[in-house]
This record gives sequence, C-alpha cells and structure tokens, in this order.
Amino acid sequence: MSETRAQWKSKFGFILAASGSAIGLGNIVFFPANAYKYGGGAFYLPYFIALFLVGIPVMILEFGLGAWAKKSFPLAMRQAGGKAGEFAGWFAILNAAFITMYYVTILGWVVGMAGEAISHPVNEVFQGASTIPWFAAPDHTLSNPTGTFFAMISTWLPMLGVLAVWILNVLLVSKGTKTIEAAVKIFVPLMWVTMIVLIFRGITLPGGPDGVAYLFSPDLSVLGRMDVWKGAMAQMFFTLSLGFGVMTAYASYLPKKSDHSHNALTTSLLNCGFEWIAGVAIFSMLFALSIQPKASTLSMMFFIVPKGIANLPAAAQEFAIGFFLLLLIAGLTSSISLVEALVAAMQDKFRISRTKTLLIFGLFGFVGSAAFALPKVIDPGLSANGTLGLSLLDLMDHWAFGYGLLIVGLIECLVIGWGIGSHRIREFINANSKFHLGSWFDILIKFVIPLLLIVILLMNIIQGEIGGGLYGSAYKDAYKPQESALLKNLHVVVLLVWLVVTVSFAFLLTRARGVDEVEEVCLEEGGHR
Amino acid sequence: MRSMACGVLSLVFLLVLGLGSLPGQISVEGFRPKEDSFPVVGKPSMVSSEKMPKAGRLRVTYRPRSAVSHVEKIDMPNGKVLWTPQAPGIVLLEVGTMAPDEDGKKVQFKSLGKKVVSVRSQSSTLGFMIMVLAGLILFGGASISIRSLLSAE
Repeated sequence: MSETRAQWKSKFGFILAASGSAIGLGNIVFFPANAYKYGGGAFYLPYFIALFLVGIPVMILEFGLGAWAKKSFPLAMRQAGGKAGEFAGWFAILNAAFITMYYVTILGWVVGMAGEAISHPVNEVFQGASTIPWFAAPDHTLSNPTGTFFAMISTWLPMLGVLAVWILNVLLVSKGTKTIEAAVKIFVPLMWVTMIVLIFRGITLPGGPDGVAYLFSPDLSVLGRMDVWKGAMAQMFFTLSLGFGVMTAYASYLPKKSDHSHNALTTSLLNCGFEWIAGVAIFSMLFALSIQPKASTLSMMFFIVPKGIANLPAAAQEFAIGFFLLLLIAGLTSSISLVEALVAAMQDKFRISRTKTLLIFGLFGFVGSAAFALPKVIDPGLSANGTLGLSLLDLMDHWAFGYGLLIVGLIECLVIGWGIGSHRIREFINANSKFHLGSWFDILIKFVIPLLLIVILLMNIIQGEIGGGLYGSAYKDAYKPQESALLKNLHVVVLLVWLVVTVSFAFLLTRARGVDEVEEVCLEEGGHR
Repeated sequence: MRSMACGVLSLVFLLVLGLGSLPGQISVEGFRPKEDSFPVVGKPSMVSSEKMPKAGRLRVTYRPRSAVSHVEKIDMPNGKVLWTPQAPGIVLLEVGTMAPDEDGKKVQFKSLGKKVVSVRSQSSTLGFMIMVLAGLILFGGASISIRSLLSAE
C-alpha cells in the first residue's frame, strides 16, 4: 500500500537540484586551492581521469539505484544487497547527518561574516589587525580577517546564524521536491551569475589574467607523485556529493523512464564546470593581489578570499557581501539535499510524516550544530583551532568527510557490483538512455573503483593515522594546561562518538521493522491462516 | 549551438586578454613593490630591506604552501640583492639572517620580514591553452548533454 511518490516537475528542475547539491562551499574555494597545491594545470590530468573513471560512473550508479528502487538510499541498498546493504545505507545517512550539522555551523559563520561585511567597512574588518580579548596574552593581535573571524566565533552570536540556517533548511525541505525545486530555480542561477561577476572582477585586475594562466600552467613533475593522484580521486568523490545518499534520494523522485546516463553526465560536468569558473575567479584575484592560497576550505573562505576582496580597488564591500551571499546559497542548496536524504529515508522506512521527521531532525540538528559552534576558547595560541566548537568540527570533518564518504562509496560499489550485480542497474539505465553503458561499467564498479578507494583509504590510514599519529593528537599540547582530561583526549572522543553513533544507530535502524516489512508479515500470516 | 558559441567566445576573450597583457615593471624594492608591477621570470629584480643587517640572506619559496614548493637561498649583502625569478607564480620572499637556535646547536634562518609577490611568466600560452581545453571539455560536454536531455523531453 505504498503512497504515490513525489516527482520532480521537470528534468531541468532535477538537474538544478542535483547540481545545486553537488556544488557547495568546496567547489568555490577548495578546488582552486587544491589545484594550486598539486601542480596547477598538471592537476587537471589526474582530475579528468578521476572524473571519468570514478566520478561519473559512481554518479550514474547512485542515480540508477534511486530510480531503479524508487526508494531512498538505505532501502534502495537493501533491495540491492539485503540487510548488509541497508546497514551501509543507514551508515551513509547518519554519517551525512554529522556532516549536515557542522556544515550548517559553517553556514552560520558565513552569515556572521556577511554581517561583519554589511555592518563595518571591509578595510576595517578584513584588513589591518585585531586584538583578540579572549586570548591568554591580553595584547595578542591577529591580522584580519583571521582576527575578525576568531573574535566572532568566540561569541554566542553565530548561534543566531545557525538557527536561521536550520529554519531555512526546514522550510525549504518542508514540501519535498516542490519547495526544493522552487528554491533551486532561484538559488542555482543566482550562484552562477554571482560567480561570473567575480570572474570579471578578477580578470580585469592588473595581473589577473596572469593568475589564471599560472593556475593552469602545468608542473608536470607532480604526475609521478602518488599523493597528487590520491588528491584528485578523493577530490572527485567529495565534490560530486557521492556517498551521502543524496543523489539516490533525488533520483528516486524521477520517473523510471529517465535518461540517467545523461543526468549523471550533466550534473557532474556542471559541477566541475563551476569549479573551473571558481578557479579562474579566485586565482585571478589572488595572483593580482599577491596573496598565498591555502588548501583548506575554511581558511580560503574566511581568511584568504576575504583578504583579497578587501584589497580590491573599488566596491570591496559589495564584493564581500556578494561573496558571502554566494557561499550561503551554495551551502544551502547542498544542505537541503543532505536534510532531504535523511527525511526521505525515515519516511520510506517508517512512514512518519514529513513535518514530524523534519521537526525532530531539525531540533537534533540544531543541537549538533550548536556543539560545533561552541565559543569556549581552549587553544589561546591558535596552534590548533582556537575554540572548542571549531576543534570538534575539524576532528569530525576528518572522520566523517575524509573517511566516511570513501567507506560508503567502497561498500556501495561492492554491494551493488557483487550483490545484485552492476549489470542489472546498467541494463535498467540502458533501457531508457541514449548513451548505452557497456560492460566496462561493471568492471569499473566491481574492480577498479573499489580497488582505488581501498588504496586511498589505506594510504590515508598509513600516512596519516599511523605515520603521523591519530589525527588531532598533536592538538593536546596546544590546549590550556588546566583543561580536563576529556578535552585533552578530544581527538579520541570525537572518533569514538562518530563510530559508536553511526554504527550502533545504523544497526538499530536496520533491525527495526519498517512499514513495508510489517505489511509483508501481516500478509504472510493472513495467508497461513 | 548558441550556448556553445557563447562559451567559445568568452574563452577566446579570456585568451586574448591574457596574451595581450604586458609584463609589469621589474621592481621589488624595500618590500613595497608598485601596485601594478610584477617581477617577470628571467628578469632581475632588486630586493631590498631596511631592517636587514650587513650580512643577510634572501629566502625565496616558489609556490608556497603547495606540494610542489621549492626554496632558493641567496646571500644578501648590505640589505640588497638582485634576484632573478626562476618560475612564475606566487612567491614568498623572506629576508633574514642565519642565527643559532635557542639551544645554540643549530644555525637556522631567522626571518626579519616577508612579502608575497606574484611572478609573471614571459609566455602564458600553455596555461591558457590548458584552461581553454578544460573549459571546452566541461562546458562543451555539459551543453551537449543538456541538449540531449531536453530534446528527449
């Protein structure tokens, strides 16, 4: 007795929603910095290989799975690989829930920085130096905008931004595809227009075009380096929003007779095209103003790009406001997709009303986001992350984003490839697609992608956690001496919380009987009688 | 077809803009280069610092904070040196002295001041070619794919 599943009003609406989900904060600032870090134009070779070898095939798989099962990620994975598949599906959703919580916190900080840009002249808050009153040394000064940012996150004020972003998320997901589609039809074009304006500002600066040429000039010596290839493969997984369960949930609202190959191709290319544009916009500005990039999303969006904007010869305030508005809308189109993935999963399994699910998740989500925004200063010298909230965010991001998504991707490929067989999804996709997938698709899903993901995960564990000590273990020397033992072992606590919550809740949710299973049991019992 | 043509036109515009830009004045003096001047690869620039003692050193980091950064060290007598950039891009210039560390065991570079400069290349053609190629693959592919999707509707 299934209800009629909601559907996207148009293919265009779906493409906007899927590409809006994929295009997030990382596309705007992380990709250009990553390309700079890994050899400029030479990085494009591993990047394109990763796009066609990993990104697009997994995107096709996630779209195909959603449309084939007409269910959100956990139940679609159950249909593909039984209870083990469902467990992996819930793990993905819970992992994405952690990411959603701190992602909303970052958006709350974006609102705070936008507030600074609106209420003060940018040459005050994004240039010069700030005295940070909460630091151990009373005369401790930081150059702006770093000082402005830390001064802001060490107050409770960003909680208002976090609350506002959660309310927006709940409202935009309240009517499912209807409200999401309406929102992305405004937000996604606005995002592109804002980025194009930034490009024109960047390349018309003296030296701007040289910056673009520099970003794309290849340093071919990097191609022999393993970490560059690993960086490109991981970047592709993160940038396309794979492993969150989002694309499967969105595709489950498509008619079965959709062209999923082209849907995946369009979404992936638009996402990477946006990154290309962002690279041109950001790099032309940084080069023209002689500012060092850094391969960190937070540093780029809160310190480096605002510093560049503050140095613009004209309309710096307008550009600063425009930049933070761009970040906010790019973040919102991604966060609503993350919320939708969870709401759709709960609705599919337990048939709880959308409003009730949204309110419960919204409440828990806000509490989680508030934890990542805690303003308590634990590291006055800023050797690590400054506040408790930012430290929690950094540690959780390392596990949930750096490992969680890759683990989900690996299990997803194994469950579908070796469970029901990727050929079944391929045949389903081929039935309605102009571009036919060959048996190469099965080879990629069953062998190549899992192997690549295993290598990346092993390299991360060996080089990172074993070689350099468990992530965050070096931070404890930076914390105030009087802090508690719990805080001194924050890196272990966060890892345990992430593991225990995702694994135990995924186990409980898999074991719980969904409405479909209860109905099946009732029918069977009725039949026996 | 129109979207493809617009895409190609804007790429050509960027290319022309890039090729047409002239190298800036070669002057990095007193760590206060002119706003509109950039050092150029292969052309010497005078680097000077008022803070520098007689025997100092200039440390040049090409592509700082990247996996491919490399460092060049140049002696800087009398607080001045003629530096010829080897590679284009963002470069960190640090002036300082070689001094023993806290334990007095090792001699280390002690920075007295730093400045980030953007070094221009004499020819940007390869970079622009790669940019255009990447843009054509991404936007050309996306427009063909969108056209195919919408035509089915």
